[in-house]
Amino acid sequence: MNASNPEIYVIAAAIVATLMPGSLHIRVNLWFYGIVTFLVAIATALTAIGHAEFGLLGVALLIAVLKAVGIPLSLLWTSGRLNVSRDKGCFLPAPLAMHSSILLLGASFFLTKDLPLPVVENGGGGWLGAAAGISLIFTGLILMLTRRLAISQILGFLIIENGIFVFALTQTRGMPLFVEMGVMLDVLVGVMIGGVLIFKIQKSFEHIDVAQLTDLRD
Amino acid sequence: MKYKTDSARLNTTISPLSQTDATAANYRKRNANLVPSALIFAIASGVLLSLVHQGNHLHLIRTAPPMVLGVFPLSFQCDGLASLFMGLLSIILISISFYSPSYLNHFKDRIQMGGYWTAMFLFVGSMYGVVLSADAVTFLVLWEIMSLSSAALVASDYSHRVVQKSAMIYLGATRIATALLCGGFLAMHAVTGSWSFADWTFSSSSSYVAGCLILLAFCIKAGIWPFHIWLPYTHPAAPSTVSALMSGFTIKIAIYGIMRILVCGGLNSPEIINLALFLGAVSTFWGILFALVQNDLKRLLAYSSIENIGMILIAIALGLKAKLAGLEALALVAFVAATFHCMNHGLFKSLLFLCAGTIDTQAHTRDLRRLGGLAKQMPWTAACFLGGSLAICSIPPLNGFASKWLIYQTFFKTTYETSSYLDRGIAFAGICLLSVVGGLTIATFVKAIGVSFLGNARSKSAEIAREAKLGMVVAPLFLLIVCVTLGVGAAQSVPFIAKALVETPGLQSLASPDQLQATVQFPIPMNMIALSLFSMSALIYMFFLKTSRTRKYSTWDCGFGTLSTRTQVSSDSFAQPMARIFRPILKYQAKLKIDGDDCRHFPEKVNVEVQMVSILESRIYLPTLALISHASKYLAKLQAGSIHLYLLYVCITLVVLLLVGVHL
Amino acid sequence: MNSALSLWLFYLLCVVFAPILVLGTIRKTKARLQNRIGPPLLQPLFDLVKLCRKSETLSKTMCGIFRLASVISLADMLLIAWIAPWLCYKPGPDSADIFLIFYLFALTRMFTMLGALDSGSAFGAFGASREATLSLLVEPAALLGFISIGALTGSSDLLQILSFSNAQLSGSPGIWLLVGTAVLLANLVESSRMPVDDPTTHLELTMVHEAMILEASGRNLALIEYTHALRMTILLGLSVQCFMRAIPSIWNAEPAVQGLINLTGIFFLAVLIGIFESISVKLQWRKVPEFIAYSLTMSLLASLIAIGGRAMK
Repeated sequence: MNASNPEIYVIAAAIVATLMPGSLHIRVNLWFYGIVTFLVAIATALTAIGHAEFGLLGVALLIAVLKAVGIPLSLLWTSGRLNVSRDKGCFLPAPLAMHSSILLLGASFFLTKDLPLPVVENGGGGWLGAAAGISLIFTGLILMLTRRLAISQILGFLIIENGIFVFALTQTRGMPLFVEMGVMLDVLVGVMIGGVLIFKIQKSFEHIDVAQLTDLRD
Repeated sequence: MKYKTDSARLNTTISPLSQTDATAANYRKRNANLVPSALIFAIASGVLLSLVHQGNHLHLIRTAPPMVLGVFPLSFQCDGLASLFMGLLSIILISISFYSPSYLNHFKDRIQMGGYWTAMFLFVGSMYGVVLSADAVTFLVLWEIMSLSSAALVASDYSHRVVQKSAMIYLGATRIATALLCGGFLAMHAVTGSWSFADWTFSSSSSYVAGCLILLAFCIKAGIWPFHIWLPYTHPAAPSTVSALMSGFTIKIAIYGIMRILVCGGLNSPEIINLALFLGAVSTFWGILFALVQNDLKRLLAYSSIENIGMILIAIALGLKAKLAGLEALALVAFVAATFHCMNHGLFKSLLFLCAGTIDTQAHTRDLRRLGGLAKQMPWTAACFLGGSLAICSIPPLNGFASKWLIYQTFFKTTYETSSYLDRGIAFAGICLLSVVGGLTIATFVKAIGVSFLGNARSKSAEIAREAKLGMVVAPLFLLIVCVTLGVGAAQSVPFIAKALVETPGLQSLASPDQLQATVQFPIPMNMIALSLFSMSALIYMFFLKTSRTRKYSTWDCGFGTLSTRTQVSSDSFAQPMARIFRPILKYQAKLKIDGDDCRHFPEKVNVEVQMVSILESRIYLPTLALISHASKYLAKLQAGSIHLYLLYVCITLVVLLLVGVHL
Repeated sequence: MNSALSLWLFYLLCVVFAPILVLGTIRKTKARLQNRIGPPLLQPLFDLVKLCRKSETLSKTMCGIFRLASVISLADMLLIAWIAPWLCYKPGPDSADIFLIFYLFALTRMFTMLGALDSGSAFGAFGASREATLSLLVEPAALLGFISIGALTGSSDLLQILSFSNAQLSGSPGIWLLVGTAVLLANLVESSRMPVDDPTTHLELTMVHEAMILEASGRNLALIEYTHALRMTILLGLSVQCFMRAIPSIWNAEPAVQGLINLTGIFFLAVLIGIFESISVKLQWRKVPEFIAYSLTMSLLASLIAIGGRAMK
């Protein structure tokens, strides 16, 4: 295969992410999320070194510290406080969810190949990275689709965010550092708000089951 | 069914049943079955001998006798494909002729033998005729005779309400199939202007509608999902000889039709091919899944037929796909796989149906919940059933493995020979599907054997069952020997079938006879495998197990005292873990109810009810039927019984026709 | 001639002793992790010899298929050991079709299940029912893995798939890792090892393989135990063969070194299984499909590589 170094890492991240829907354990999912994000961080760092954009290195460091370690730890703490360790799952059984996310991984690779992509001239930015990004987005969607607990929903959302980041990283080289920092800040704030909201939901509904939130419609 | 009543009257005049000479009448009745059986044997072995005698130039007996039916001449021809199917039919018929005399004796009070045999001869004759027919009209006429006579055979034991219902369902299915077939044939005639199959090509888009109609008609007859609904009703109701013949051969005639008309006609519409592939894949899975949860042995076998037919359709569709992609060699492998699996399934499925019939007559039930322990009392039938099950589970070195291997090879070669990603993905999914289906088949037949032949008898009638008469043992044994021969000699039988196919007009372009060696191979030394398995087993047994000291004791009962027969696993509970996994499809529900004051520790009464719903039947077919019968009530108002009204209809029709005629 | 003879001798020694040593290694590892000294490595062999000297107890319900089953299973497993390339050094036929090997495994499985049903005992029957369920889930995973490598090499013959001279696959260690893992996970299920079935509990009601052979005793039991160990060893050997190909330096090593790595790899995996069994718990029966799904996942990923593989080259 003619993938560049960062691409190998983002593809690995996409593959690890597809394993997430297969387990209903929050702890396992958080571990996987940490690995995925760490791989993305490595890819970012490699891109930074490859293109001599040392601002990106800082982003990579932030991703590794905050997203790959910080967010899983905080969510782990949240799940410990709420005393939930296992999602019940809905819509699709966990194994089938995993297999369908793998099928979507395959589909995104075969479809992205023909996508008109804004390939930057200076090497890199091939379709493989874009495919990995799109696959991450699909996996996140599957994760959100087949989970009931709000924590898992946040995880799915985070995976989607990873996907968007990977897509942006491999396609647009010239994204300003501030924008990336801003995105990261948004995510952090989102997770914190989500965490607070989970507590709120738990308090007012005595559960954090999203499927039962249909009571809210009227 | 006029002939039926006629022959019934005939029967009563020949052998009047009087109280005084009951034994003589009995004897004569047995004779009455012996003679037609011998006749069937003679016909079948005659055909078989002539096929063998013709040897390599089978396609030369091409005849077009000018038998005039109205304005249409009937024409027949025999080529490689037809002779293969005729050979299969002959072998099945020979074993049925062994089986019939003793088997039908059990039904002498319930079946009108005259009617049965008349319909049987019509059925057999028309099946040979359908295989041999070379044009659409001949095909359709014989097809109709075949359908109607088989419906009469299904209804042989017509005093039972269940049988009546099944026969009606079967008749309905065949009517729809014939209607579609007529439509397809007419459309094809309109396109090509000829009735002869040789002139029909499906390579232009104008013939696609006809091709689709013909495919659907054959799918109904073959019992492909979602038209399979008649199979599980018909087979339990029909006598075992009939269900063996129908499952062994009649549904293969539909496959033969697809091969003869669509494959030889060079169908090249990707949509129709994909449709066939999809239908085949679904019926493979659906069939075996429902077979697993059945409790009636013959129903189980009927569902398993659906699975196998689906597999054959998959192979045909893959072959057409390969041909479309220009991979002639692969297409030939696929068609050989389909034909070979047709042969094999015909053999072992009739074997299993005959064994099921033996169980039915000896233990007086086919309900797996009431059988058990038959292997000790009926060792030969058990051995035959085991052999047939091993074959249908495609265990080497039996014939089922040989044809399944070819189907696997077709899928496998598709994974790297085609250039389209989608086709490769489909091929991988297909291999996955086949292996899941293989696992389910093993589970199904382990359940069938284990619950009916092993363990203890679950009812009195199963306990007193004895081995059947010689004929009923010889018939399945004969088929088993053919199965083993085809399997062990697969290295010879596969090229033989390939050669016959290549000699068929329409398939000749796939490979020239001298290329055949290279394109279709069966590299697995089945004879060596069989030999080494057998000799190693014999050695281990002789030198190791035979010399060990044994003592007989009761089965381990945890010290509770003797086990009752109800502590054994039942057919439902064996299938439960698998049914649970596929519960969304099966609508599987197990209701457990425990009664008692302290039901947690001292249950007094435990009640388990397992429920399965066939979604297709309850959600689609029944509502549709209800809708139709509702609508026909309104339609029935047209038939008011008044002459004036009828005259008005005629008048209106005439005016409409005139208008149409003027404007066109 | 002399080297052929020594090859035969080596192969026979492997067939006889490797399964016993693998079992012994797993037990020893578990014992050491529990701070016990544990039984000697050859203890399974001593057990078999002891079983052979005992007399057999048969149920009155049995019809003979029970003993037939163990005989046929062993014959079949020996045949597989003869055909399948689980050792680098092996005298044997020059083709090993992957579908043939899978259906030969199915033969053993089918007869084991029938034997379990023969006694009329509910233990055996439930074991058989569970075995059928597990094999249904596991079989596609293992088959699909090998098939995806086969699609890259263009042959369904395991000997060609695994041949070291096959240059097409030397550059992609990923697919070999995936397939090796898939087969290893499948092996845990097939051989009734820990997360699926606990071979050391005392309660047959919860077990798969042990429940099926509950009625076996004496020499019959010895046959079954040995067959089971041989099956596990063959499958371990196949996954080691896959893992070996994931490491590029082994591709060019001497055949003798490759054979040695293969053999040590089998025992290394046995140690791994021992460690895994010590730190994990048996899964609840209904959760088992979730575990098996990972095996299929590996195979699906491998097949994705196979589908796209040729295009990327």
